[in-house]
Amino acid sequence: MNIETIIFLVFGITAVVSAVLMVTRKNPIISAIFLILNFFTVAVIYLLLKAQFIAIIQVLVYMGAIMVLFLFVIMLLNLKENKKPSEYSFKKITAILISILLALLLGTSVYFGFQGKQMNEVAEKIGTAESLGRTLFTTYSFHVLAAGMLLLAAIVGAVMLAKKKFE
Amino acid sequence: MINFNDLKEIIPLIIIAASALISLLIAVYSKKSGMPVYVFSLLAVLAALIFTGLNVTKDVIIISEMLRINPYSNAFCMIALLSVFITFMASKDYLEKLGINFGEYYSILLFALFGMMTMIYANDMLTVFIGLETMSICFYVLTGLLRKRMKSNESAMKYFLLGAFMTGFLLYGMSLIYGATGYTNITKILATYTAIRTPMFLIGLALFMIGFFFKIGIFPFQMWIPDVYEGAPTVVSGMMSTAGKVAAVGTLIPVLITLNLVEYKMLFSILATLTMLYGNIVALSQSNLKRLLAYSSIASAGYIMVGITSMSDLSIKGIAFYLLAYVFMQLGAFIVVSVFENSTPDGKDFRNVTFDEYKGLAKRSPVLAIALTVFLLSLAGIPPFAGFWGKYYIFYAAIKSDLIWLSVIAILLSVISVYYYLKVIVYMWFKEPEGETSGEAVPVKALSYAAIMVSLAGTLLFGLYPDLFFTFFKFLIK
Amino acid sequence: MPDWSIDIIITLIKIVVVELVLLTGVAYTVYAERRVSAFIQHRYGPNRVGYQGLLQPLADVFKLIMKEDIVPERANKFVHSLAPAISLFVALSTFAVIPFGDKILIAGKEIKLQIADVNIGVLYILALLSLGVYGITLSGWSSNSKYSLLGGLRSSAQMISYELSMGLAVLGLILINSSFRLDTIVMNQYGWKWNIILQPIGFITFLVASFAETNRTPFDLPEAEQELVGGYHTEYSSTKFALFFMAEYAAVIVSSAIITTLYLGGWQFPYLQTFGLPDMAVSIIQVLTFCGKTAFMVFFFIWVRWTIPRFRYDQLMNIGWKVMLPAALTNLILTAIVITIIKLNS
Repeated sequence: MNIETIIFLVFGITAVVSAVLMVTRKNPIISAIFLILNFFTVAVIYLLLKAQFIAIIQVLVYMGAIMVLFLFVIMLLNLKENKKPSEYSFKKITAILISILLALLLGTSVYFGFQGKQMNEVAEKIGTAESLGRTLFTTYSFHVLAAGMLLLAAIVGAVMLAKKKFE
Repeated sequence: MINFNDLKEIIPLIIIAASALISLLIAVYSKKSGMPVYVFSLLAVLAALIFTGLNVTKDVIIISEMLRINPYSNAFCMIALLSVFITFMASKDYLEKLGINFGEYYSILLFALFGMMTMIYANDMLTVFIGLETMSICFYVLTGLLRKRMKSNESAMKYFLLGAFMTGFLLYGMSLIYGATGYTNITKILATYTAIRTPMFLIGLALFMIGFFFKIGIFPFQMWIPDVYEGAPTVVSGMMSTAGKVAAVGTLIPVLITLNLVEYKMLFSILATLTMLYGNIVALSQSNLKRLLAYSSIASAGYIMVGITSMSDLSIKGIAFYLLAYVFMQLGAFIVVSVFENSTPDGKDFRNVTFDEYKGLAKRSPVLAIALTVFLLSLAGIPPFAGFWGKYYIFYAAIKSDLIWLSVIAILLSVISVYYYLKVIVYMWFKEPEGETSGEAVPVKALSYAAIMVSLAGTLLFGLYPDLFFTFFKFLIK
Repeated sequence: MPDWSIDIIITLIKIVVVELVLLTGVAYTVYAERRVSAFIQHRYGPNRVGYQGLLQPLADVFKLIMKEDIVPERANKFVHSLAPAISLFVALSTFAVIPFGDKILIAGKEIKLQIADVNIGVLYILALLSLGVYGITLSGWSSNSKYSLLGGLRSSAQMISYELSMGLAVLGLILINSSFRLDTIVMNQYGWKWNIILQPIGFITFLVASFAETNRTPFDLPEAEQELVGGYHTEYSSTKFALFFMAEYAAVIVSSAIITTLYLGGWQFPYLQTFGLPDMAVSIIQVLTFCGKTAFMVFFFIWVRWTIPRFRYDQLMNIGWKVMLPAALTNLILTAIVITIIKLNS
């Protein structure tokens, strides 16, 4: 076992465990903390895939900005811990079963889809900021513009819905 | 790379994008009157419509193969543009009535239109995704526009949460497809699909389709439609149920037809049957006209699904015609509802949307009643209105591709649908008006009148001369 | 010994040295702050422990460790202990990518005076700075006290607002150097070509944002004594409080080092190469230059703290969104235009 496999296993397992804990915790803040942990582990996995830029953007955007806002909102809402004892209802069990089935289905299909494949040289270079920037502003320049429209629409929409006094 | 020659091909898209931005500025600088932004956006949509119409036969793939302009996508784009145009016409009076006539409404709608057109023209999964998200986010906002009404807020929240969840499916599907094929470009994926029909690709495709089925409203993913259409401002509901559907169908159909998933025909047929069953049967017990139209929108998603199941050029033709007819009749019906609709005195809920309040509408405003009657009859598929021909072409295509049992079910269910449409008509024509406002004519502003008349004209024109559509889009009967 | 193990040992030595220097620096920054503030206010400041009070930091450390560690009764114990650790971790690990000197030759081996020369150094710094907010926010929440919570909320709003202008200010630099690598950025600042001259607006924006990110006056609202007792660390005592204290000053040093690297030429001593000194001397002068510049910036931080009063909260937000952000954007656009013109001409 080489060092990359070990790192992958450690962070992969942490990612799964933190995701499960995120869903099962009762306290929303603790859930959020586990989600942050999950994002971090995913960032490390990106690093293993030689996508440094994506990894750092994951940390910068998801951990550094989005989750801070999440925490901010949760704190402002002042949610009380859900004190009700957990019930094992029919709904819950079916939900768990279906999600396990889905995970197995997706997992096996992806596993057999990629089994034995190695990263090629092109893929290894794609993750750097230089190549990503070049692709983004040449091949995908339309998408950059369209994404700008999308974000502007979202901002205008958010203001429309949330502003106290409109007009 | 975007080069100058490519830009010439997407003039309509540029017009819409630019006018979305400009209308924001106009809205800021003319706060007092809603007129400038209204006229501007109306003209912008009209200009885009004309430009698309002039270049309808273009067939090119441009901007690093990210966009595909061809007669099909142009046709669907024109239908979406038409729908938004009629919506714009009716919007101003309705929004003023509810006191939400913000200039930003128009730019958000233009943003949504930009999303729809991007999506329809898309030749790359990334383009599809960005277009779809632009459209969806604008729809969430428009749904929650009536900020003081619990119902509107609830429906916006519901729509947003479910929509975001379904976007997850779509995106996951796209990444699986990318994993299986190594491309995001749709043409390239379709060119190599036979070689790579691996489980991963098929699961990816399934997830991809689930995302779209949610937007169209196919059976297991239809639960949001009635609540959302009921809570949203009525013209917006009309726009979402027509333009939104056109965009989603217009994006999905070329892909599905090319993939030609013959071995999954049974699955598609079952989905179509369930959708039609659900829409038509649940509609029977409705007493709120907005909800009724929502269920009828589910039912028509089922008819479209019948067309998708047939998977032939003939069925695209049918679906395109059906969607065109659908824009006129469904949007027209929603506009009539919006004209009649009112707020409760405390402004917290809708009034004049239940069947009881439609009693005797014919005596109060015969023109409105006639228009609504025509729209409902057309939705039911009764000749000589456009809806009849839409269903006719779809079922014809289904029979041609050996789906006789499916078309029989579809025909039976559209016969059932006549019952609930007729119920509304009976309430309007054969019951006496009740309440303190009975006998008064419903006030209708000129612009709303014009919107209703355009829809009415369309329903009648394409009902009497269905060939018009096909002579315009000659390519479709090749 | 195989080659890679030597590399690992060298890196470990670098880490240990840098962190030791940094922590000592933290201790003496606290001392400097007290002496400088005393000087500014015409007082003596700590001058009893050791010569001129130079051993005061040691006494402070002992005092803090000896104190009782109090955790509020209804606090979330785990998060309560996690928060100071996050704060210090973020402050200390940022130093990993900062080059504090050029290469030196020791026993025929070329050693880079930088712990990790990654090609996304700038982004790494921004990412870690953006994580710093968690320490404060979580400590505010977990203490289960309203003052702490208010402090935590204020800091998260403040940091999010100023991070934006910080990132945008740095983008101007990235455009000039077309690299995220800190080493390249320093290399390009030879002679007097410091970025502070090329990017004055960017520098000022970055400087102000740094003050906000480190929660230093005039942006120290998260711990405004008059309103919030002690802000986010009201409920902390003993070692955990010491950790917060250290994190604050480590952040000041790290911010100074970042500003030095990005805008003040890093370890570059103007025209040092023309003096014809031996290689070792050049290296040592470069490291000392870096330390000197950083020390000046630390002094600047302290100087500002004892001269300028605190902003009101609405003023803070207004400056963040209505002054800093447009300024940073203008800077970015101007830089882009100028670079395009230069490229077209050549």
